[in-house]
Amino acid sequence: MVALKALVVDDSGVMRKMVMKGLIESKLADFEFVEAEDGKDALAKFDPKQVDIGFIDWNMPNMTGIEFVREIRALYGSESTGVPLVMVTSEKTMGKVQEALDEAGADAFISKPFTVAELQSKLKKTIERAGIRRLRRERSQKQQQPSGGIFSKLFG
Amino acid sequence: MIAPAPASSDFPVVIAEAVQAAVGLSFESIFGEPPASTEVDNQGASFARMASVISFFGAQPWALTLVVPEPTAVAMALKFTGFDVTFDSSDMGDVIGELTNVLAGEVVAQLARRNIQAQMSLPTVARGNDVEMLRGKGAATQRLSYESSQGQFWFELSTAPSVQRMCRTSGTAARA
Repeated sequence: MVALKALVVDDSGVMRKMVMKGLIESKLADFEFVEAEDGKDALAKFDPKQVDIGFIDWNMPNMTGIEFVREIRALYGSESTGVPLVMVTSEKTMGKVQEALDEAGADAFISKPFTVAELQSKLKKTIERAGIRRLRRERSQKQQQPSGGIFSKLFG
Repeated sequence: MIAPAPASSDFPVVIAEAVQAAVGLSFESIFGEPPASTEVDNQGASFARMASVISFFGAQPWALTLVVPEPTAVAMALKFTGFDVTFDSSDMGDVIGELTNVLAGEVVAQLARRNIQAQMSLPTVARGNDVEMLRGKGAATQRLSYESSQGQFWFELSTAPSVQRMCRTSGTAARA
């Protein structure tokens, strides 16, 4: 199973734990987690070459989740669009959720509170997409590495 | 001790109804069953408490305070997170703040269904035995008390007349 590097952004340490616990229990993938406590912290920790998927709280101090998603999409452009960003929100107003998906550039959302079954049904395709991107990236990196055959034999 | 606000009949009924609907839906989805509304007013007097405040702004500025006595808070935290959270830990503040946040999201949706647009603040959480919730002069208040399998808890709702006055002074539309 592919181990995905997941950025989990929430100002609540307990919510970060709950998201990570839920994802592990979902068994949708193996995860390696990177935690950030607000949008600004997440911005510093986001690297589209390293992060495979992001789980972003909406209401946070300093920089909201929506602002973070907008910033990432603007900063990294097409390089970032392959990284699915999932809003984790207590927002229940569909207009606002739609704004996150359409205007800001988020890929999916899950509503708090959530169950493992909900994570499985809502995130299966998104996590599969992140996994495929990760495998392609790893393959591409391997192809770019010098073959090493004759050189490693010659120079050790 | 957190002094409960005296009930006032002039708190907007439509907002109180939206909160009651949101409490039922949110707590059922988190705890598996909606809490029962109660008139009992002994409110866990001997226990320390958590109090979490969220403000709502829009046409009608108001605030909601969730007050949770210690035994209820510990039981709620276990059910909500799936792991033990001690009352004195910083995680307990996160849990009660997050519960209020989830509830407030549903309150905003319930208000929208009643054609009232509102935005919510981040929660501010306090813990202690001697926390007094101060009200603005002339603020309308209402208390909603509940019993659940996790224990007692209650909400104090309060309008914010000072904010309304500020809005009027600056010319922004505001409704009392």
